Amino acid sequence: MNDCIVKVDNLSLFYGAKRALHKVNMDIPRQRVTAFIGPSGCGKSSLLRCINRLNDLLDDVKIDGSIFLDHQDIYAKSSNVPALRRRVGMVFQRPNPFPKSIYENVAYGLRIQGINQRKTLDEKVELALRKAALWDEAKDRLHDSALNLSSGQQQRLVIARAITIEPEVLLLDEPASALDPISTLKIEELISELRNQYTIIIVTHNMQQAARVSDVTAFMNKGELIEIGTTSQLFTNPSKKQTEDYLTGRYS
Amino acid sequence: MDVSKIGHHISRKFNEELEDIRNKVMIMGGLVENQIDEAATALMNSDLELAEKVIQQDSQVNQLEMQIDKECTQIMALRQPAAFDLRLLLSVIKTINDLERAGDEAIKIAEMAIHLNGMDHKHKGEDYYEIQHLVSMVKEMLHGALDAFARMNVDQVVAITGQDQKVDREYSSIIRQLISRMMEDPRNVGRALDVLWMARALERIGDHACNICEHVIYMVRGEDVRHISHEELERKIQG
Repeated sequence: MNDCIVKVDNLSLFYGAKRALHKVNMDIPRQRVTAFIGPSGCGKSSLLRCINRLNDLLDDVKIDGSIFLDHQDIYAKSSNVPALRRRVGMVFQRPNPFPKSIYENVAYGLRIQGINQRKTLDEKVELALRKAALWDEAKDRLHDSALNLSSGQQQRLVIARAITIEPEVLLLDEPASALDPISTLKIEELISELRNQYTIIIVTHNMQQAARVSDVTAFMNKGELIEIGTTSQLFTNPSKKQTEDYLTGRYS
Repeated sequence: MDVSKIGHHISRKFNEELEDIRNKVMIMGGLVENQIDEAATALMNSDLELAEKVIQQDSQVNQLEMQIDKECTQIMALRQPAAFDLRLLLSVIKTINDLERAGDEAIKIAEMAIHLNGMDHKHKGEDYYEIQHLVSMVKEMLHGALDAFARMNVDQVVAITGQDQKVDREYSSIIRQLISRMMEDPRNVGRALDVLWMARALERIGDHACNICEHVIYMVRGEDVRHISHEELERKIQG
């Protein structure tokens, strides 16, 4: 893991008095897929949300330590949060397309950046839909409402919307847990297509999914990072007993 | 992972399935040990009945091998095991292959016992003094390997793989003796070849015992120790 894009440095997170993350240190490699796994409430989603400062939107959140994106402290006072979120895109568990057409959903990020030339938009929308493996299914109905798509298609649309603005990092929070097995496989296939262009960080409850799609896996428990390593190593021979017990379904 | 932890899955059925597989491997190991023991006894005592029994036991060993393979495949397909559980199953699949082949070597000895008994000039059991020592060495090795598997403990495996080096030396020295006896008197050639085949079968059993030790190390430590020298193995186990 020599080329690290996101560096989590001694990060602690409190929701009121409750500590959700405890002194997490982690290097996330560039243009790789990193998976966070762990039991419910272990802090994996909280950590993911810290990477584009989504937790800022909650009241009563306190953060210690920091996160560096390409050596820039994203929690520094001078940090520009909207600019950060352009660089770090996010996709949630339930597909959340806007109640607009397929085309306008994908073009949305560009329009708010002030890009309105038809030709540029057409090109970028097509490129994003192609990258998200949705072009063939959507090209003849670009101006239909996005809400008419199936949930698997909606999720790919949301990924297309996230990548139109060409972020460097893509955060995926349980992106396939509300989808059927075939749509899940399509999302997984998409992740492996996108891994060459983006750094992808995925939170998943499905360990086999983490094993299939990721290069690096981090196991978290009770707000702490227990172990991080290459996925193949972690799933065949984890170094910590807690990881072993979780992966094999044992109670410790 | 120590043995007592193996049954700590949240799914009790998964515990039972793994435990069942481990028990079947031990039963198969017991059968093969028995085959080797009885094949050697049949040879020494020219006991045809016992030799036949060893050969017949083969189908039981084969059945167990297929049954265990099938159960491992099912667990892999249905439970997607990871970490220790995955290594356990992979080690089991390889271990039973080595056991089955060790059983086949015992059968070669049993068949030799029958073949020699049918020859005009019968040899007495004590004629095979050269290989008696080899028999006890490889029996001990296989027993130790199965013990390591059952206990999931790698402490003894260095001693077992060390024993294999002694077996190899013993085998070479038997060959040297046989060659010089064949040179002394061509009438010795027939018998010498018989002894040679049996020594070869025993030496192979020792190799299978060593392979089982390697599978146990992989299961317990997650380290692949195949194709390294004995000294390197020793360093890895102790380090």
